[in-house]
Amino acid sequence: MLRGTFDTGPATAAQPITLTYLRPLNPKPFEVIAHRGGGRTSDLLGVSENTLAILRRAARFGATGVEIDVRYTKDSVPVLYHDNRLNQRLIQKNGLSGGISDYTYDQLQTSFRLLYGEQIPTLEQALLTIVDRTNLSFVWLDAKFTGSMNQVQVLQQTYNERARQRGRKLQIVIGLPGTDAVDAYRALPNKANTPILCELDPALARELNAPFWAPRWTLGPQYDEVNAMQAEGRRVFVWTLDDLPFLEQFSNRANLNGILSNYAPAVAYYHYTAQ
Amino acid sequence: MKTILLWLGLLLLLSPCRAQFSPATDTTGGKRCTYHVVLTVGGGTSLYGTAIGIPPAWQKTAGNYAGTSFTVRALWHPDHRFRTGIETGLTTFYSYKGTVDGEAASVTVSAIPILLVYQMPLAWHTGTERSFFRRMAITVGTGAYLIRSQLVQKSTVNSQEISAGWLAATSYTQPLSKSLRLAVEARWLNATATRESDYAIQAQVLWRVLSW
Repeated sequence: MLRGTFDTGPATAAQPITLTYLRPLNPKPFEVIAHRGGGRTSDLLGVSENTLAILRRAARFGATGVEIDVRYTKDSVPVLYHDNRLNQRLIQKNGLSGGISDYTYDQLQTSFRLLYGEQIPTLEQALLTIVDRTNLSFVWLDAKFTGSMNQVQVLQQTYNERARQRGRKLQIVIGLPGTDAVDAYRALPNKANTPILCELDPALARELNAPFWAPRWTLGPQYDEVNAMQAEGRRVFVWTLDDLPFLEQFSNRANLNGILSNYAPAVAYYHYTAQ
Repeated sequence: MKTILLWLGLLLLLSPCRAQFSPATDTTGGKRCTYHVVLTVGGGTSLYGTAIGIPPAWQKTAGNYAGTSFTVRALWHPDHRFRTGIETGLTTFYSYKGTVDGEAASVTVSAIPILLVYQMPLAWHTGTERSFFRRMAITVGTGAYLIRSQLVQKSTVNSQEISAGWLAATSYTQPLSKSLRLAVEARWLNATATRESDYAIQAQVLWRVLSW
């Protein structure tokens, strides 16, 4: 219960008001995961997606976790960027095109600005921000790169450990969206302390012993498969669910452990108000 | 009154047709006039028409909005005024230079259009061969622009982007001989995906390479 005062004019608020919960919020643990660090919500905030600024704001619009996109620069620095190509949906016009991997980290820092003027952050900057400056509990590193996964694994382990030392309940997992990422994961010499999230079929998730399975939401609620995976100790998310009627359906009936969406506030609403 | 207005309207509707059609173009007889394929080669100067985005981290910057524009076009001239063809070429959009951490850096952006083009002279059967409006034509095109960019900053990065785009142009053509003409053309190029807009003026040589 919240008690306070309010008024409608410029005078000092003097009229008493009491806000009371008529029903409790849904207590079931659930991850509300913001796509690209903030998804479409970032469009309304004047902050670019996949930036340090949006990561710091994610919890304010209901996210408990974030999905961020990892690519390598030409000189193999892991940075955050969603699209295959540098384009004016995401960067300010500078005449240049191509992919992240065509440019060195130095060139990206000095010659490119994201839509709202930010620099393209490194994965390390992002994880440091999440651990030290947010209360987020889940980070989904979408492996959009080709090549070795070693650097990403090292950062994952470093910042999972940093979070643990700070008493944070934070899980940083590597998402495997395709066969390139699966091959890169398989090529890792040591897979200990490397939690992964398999976005492909359940058989592969089992084969890789992935603690997380995240099918595309368009495949449907998959009630039986979700229950089977959860019975095996896996947590199940869907991506990238933005349609409101389906959000309501998946939040209330699909028995998921989380939803990745461009509209984290809507996911939060449907989850916390579910009876 | 109503009847008068009706007749007046009918007269207005028919008058352009009367001006444009002549017995020579009566197609009911199954005859056609000569078809031609005309090859156009042109070159000139261009001026980039929208803002260029010089990165804020660059110092001592200078932008160059002027460039060159080259065109090669093959156009089918049938025995009516609607001409169709294809066009390509090269247009330099803009460049800028500056320093980054004290070292020289530059960006150049150019485009290769690959367009379907349509052209119509402003007049067809009115006036004589010397008529100004017969020699004026408007051209529109649609297709793709291959946008090429080059960054020189410690190392060189060449990249390409394909964008849908448009062309609009107007030209004046001066006959020199039966198969050779000179033209001057003002052009506007627009690449939509990369938000490029460029104006150019070209001198062109038109050569009637095929007739049948």
